[in-house]
Amino acid sequence: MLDVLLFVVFPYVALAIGIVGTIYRYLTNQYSFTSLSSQFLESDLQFWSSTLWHYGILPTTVIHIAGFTLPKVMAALHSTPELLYLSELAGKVLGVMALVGVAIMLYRRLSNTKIRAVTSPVDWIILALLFGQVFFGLILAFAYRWGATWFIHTATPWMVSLASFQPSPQYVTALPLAHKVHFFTGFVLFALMPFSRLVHLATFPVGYLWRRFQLVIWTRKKVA
Amino acid sequence: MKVRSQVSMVFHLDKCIGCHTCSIACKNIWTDRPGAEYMWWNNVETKPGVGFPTQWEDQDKYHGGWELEDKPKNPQLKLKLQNRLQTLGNLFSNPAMPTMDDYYEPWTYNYGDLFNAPLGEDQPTARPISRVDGKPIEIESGPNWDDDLGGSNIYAMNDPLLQNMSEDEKLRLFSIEQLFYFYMPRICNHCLNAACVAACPSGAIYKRAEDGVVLINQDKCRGWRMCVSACPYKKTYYNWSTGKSEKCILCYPRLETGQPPACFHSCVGRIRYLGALLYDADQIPDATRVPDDQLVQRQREMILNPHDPEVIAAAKASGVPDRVIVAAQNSPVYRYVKEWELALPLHPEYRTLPMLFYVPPLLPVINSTQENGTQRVETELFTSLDKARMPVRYMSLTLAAGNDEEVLKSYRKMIAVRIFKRHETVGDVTAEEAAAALAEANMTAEEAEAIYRLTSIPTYQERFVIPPYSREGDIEEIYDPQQRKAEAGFGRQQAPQRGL
Amino acid sequence: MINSSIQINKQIFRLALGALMFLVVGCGAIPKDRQTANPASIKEIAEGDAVNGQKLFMGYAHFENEGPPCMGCHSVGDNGLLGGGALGPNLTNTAVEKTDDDIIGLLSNTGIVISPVMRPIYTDFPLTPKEQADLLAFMKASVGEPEVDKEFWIYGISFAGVLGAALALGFVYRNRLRSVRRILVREAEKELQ
Ligand code: HEM
Repeated sequence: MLDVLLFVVFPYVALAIGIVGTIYRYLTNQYSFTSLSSQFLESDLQFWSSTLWHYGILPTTVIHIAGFTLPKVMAALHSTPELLYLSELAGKVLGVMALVGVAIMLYRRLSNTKIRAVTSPVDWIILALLFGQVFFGLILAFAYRWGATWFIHTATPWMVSLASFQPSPQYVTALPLAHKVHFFTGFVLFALMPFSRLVHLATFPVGYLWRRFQLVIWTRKKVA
Repeated sequence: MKVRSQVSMVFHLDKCIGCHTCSIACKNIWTDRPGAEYMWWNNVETKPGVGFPTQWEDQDKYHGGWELEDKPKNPQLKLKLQNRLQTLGNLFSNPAMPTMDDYYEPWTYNYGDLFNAPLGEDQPTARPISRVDGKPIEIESGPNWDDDLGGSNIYAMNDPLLQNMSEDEKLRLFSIEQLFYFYMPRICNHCLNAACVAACPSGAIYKRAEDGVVLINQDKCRGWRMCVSACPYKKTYYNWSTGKSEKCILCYPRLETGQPPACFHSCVGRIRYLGALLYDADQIPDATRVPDDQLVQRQREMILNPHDPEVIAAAKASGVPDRVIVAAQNSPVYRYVKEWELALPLHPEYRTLPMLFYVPPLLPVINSTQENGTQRVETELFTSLDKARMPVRYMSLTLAAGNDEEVLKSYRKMIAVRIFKRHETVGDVTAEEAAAALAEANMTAEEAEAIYRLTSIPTYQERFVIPPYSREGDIEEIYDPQQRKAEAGFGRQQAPQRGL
Repeated sequence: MINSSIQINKQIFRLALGALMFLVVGCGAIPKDRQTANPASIKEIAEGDAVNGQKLFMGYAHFENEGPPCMGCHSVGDNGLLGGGALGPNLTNTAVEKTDDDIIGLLSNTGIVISPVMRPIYTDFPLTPKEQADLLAFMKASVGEPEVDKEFWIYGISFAGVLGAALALGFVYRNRLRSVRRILVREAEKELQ
């Protein structure tokens, strides 16, 4: 029963809150869509925290999503033990980078009064949850290796079952507690997205790669 | 030919008395808010000096503006900051982001202590406290920290433009007899090839086609801070409280109602001129790719003569309203920049095509050559130009990308006007001397008279020729103003407040 | 106003498109008809090939129905450069701890549920009787081998990698803008003294 609640009902609720909430916030308060950068107030630690964190967490997130959507490709990427070791080690490096990054972020916010002045309660919640999420992720990666293999045969079918509205929680309910915490916090974070600065994720400006440099806008275009 | 109109500006530096009234007018209207206290959309710098933020002209440090590709054939323009792909990689931590420390930490005083301190032996004091975190601070810097050459061995000596001078030359520059300095008021240049617009990952910054004002769409801005780094003039500012970037808006709400911007209106020395320029937008790519010493001339070429029937026809075809063309014909900026070639763009070598032009100050030139404070204007002015090698060099590095001739041309005209008027009003200069001076500067008596009039005794209406906007029409077409008024009024419907 | 509502419409359109794609991908990924496994017979067990079993275990040879190799979760003896997985128990001596029937029952999903984690996986991707037999033969052959722990290397290489990544970041961004005013004032004051 608890399993159904945690791994069927809650994911749907969290996804709904995350997606609907983010769209709603975008439509009603686009002004608040920003990463609220604090680099202007403190740049030295910000460099290490932000680069380590983002260069660690972004590939990790992409790998997770690829695991959900392209399991065949991901399986092909570690089709021999050697390839498996390589991708596993790369993943672990990325994860530890992110953990170090978020740890510095927490330290920076705690120790610098100027940064503290621009920290909201949600920032603390988000940072703590992210720290926990990455920490448990690393427990899975180190203590319950090799995740590259079992990921696409536990988490992936579970997510696919959710996405196709035929939920099969049995893929994950038997996993150790650390897994369950990691899964649960992941959805909590998703649900918190519209209530925090995490909305900056939705604004990644890929369009910059091809937009023209100079933008000239007419209030009312009179001539073509 | 694609003709567009740009509301442009001229600042006459000889008239600037460095009173900072413009800065205060701007601050009171626009930047007296949390997160914006440190911003000075309009600031006045003492030059030589390090400016605001510290050493903003040192692009080896700040990486602002554009540069030409380093290849002989058909070099393209690129942002000095980064290419497109690097931009995405630098979002997380901007490697060219100045910090508050390079501007200054805004503060107030704990005035309450003066009233609430318990009775005691000592006089209560109001300690300075930071306006960021409210903690007591040691004030290390402020806007205009080096005003009037204050602390010049630290600040003026480290002016990036003096970097290539020998210690000897620097010392001579600051010796009592030859000392010179001048004030440089700076606002956003509303460039034609703006680096901030090009660098914005979200595409939030744009140029208004009607008047060329460069604005940041606050709803689209995501606070990636690339504009702050890319603007070589450091005229976009990051609001640390709202997480958005902000910049001078040329008081467009005032312009649209026929008033000059607050800094223009309040200028005590009446150094500021504002008017429309017609330019050929098709020439922008070419104008930004010529060698440094041709930049000023090339930029002038793309500014079109609003009296030329061909240009008028092309302007109409491009959608420039008739009344804007008339305004461009009366524009004081057109006369200073194009007709007389007196006013020059600030640091054209950044290749952003800035549309704020400066008339170089004559005083430093005269100052650096006088002996015992005396000089016979009529005979020695031109020779002083030759003697004032250092100030001229400094001005040409500031306003002409190092092309001394552009600055000298401007100076010769200003000197000729002086001699010509002295002949007229004081009379201790002969007609021949005056005629010779005009010939030296390659100008006519009419031109000299016109320069004198617009420089010394212009009326408010002559200084500010604001093109008509007819925004009502534009707005009406889109949304019924009556209806809008009933709903929420014009303008933002939401306070610019920090989100979660 | 019209302008911004057009933008909103575009946004909604894009979101709808994204949601649609998500659905298509999701539906495409619904597992196919479940195959039922057959347990290996006694004869097949007797013919089990330990060498092939090891290949299957390690993933050098792939299962016919594309199931994941066992080493993703288990270790046997001294297997592989960095060893096998640790989600499941070490299987070096499992052949003496459990009966053949139990193991074959587990591998074919026909016996009692020993591992609720493995059950749904190998229901989707069942093992053939031959594969079951080969694996069993491999596990029997490995009984008594020393259990080698390579965790130290995993941690060591990972942390060294992080250090390397940090150094690389520091190198790539070595010219990043640092305090201008403070440095300038400090240097100038030093010179003046
Ligand atoms: C999509 C690509 C992403 C971009 C472009 C991006 C960009 C940024 C930027 C510019 C900042 C502000 C840093 C500063 O100057 O203070 C930031 C902060 C932050 N980002 Fe991201 N980010 C991305 C993805 C992520 C992801 C995937 C996460 C985690 C789920 C994340 C979590 C955070 C957090 C927690 C902060 C706050 C840091 C602090 O407390 O100082 N970001 N991000």
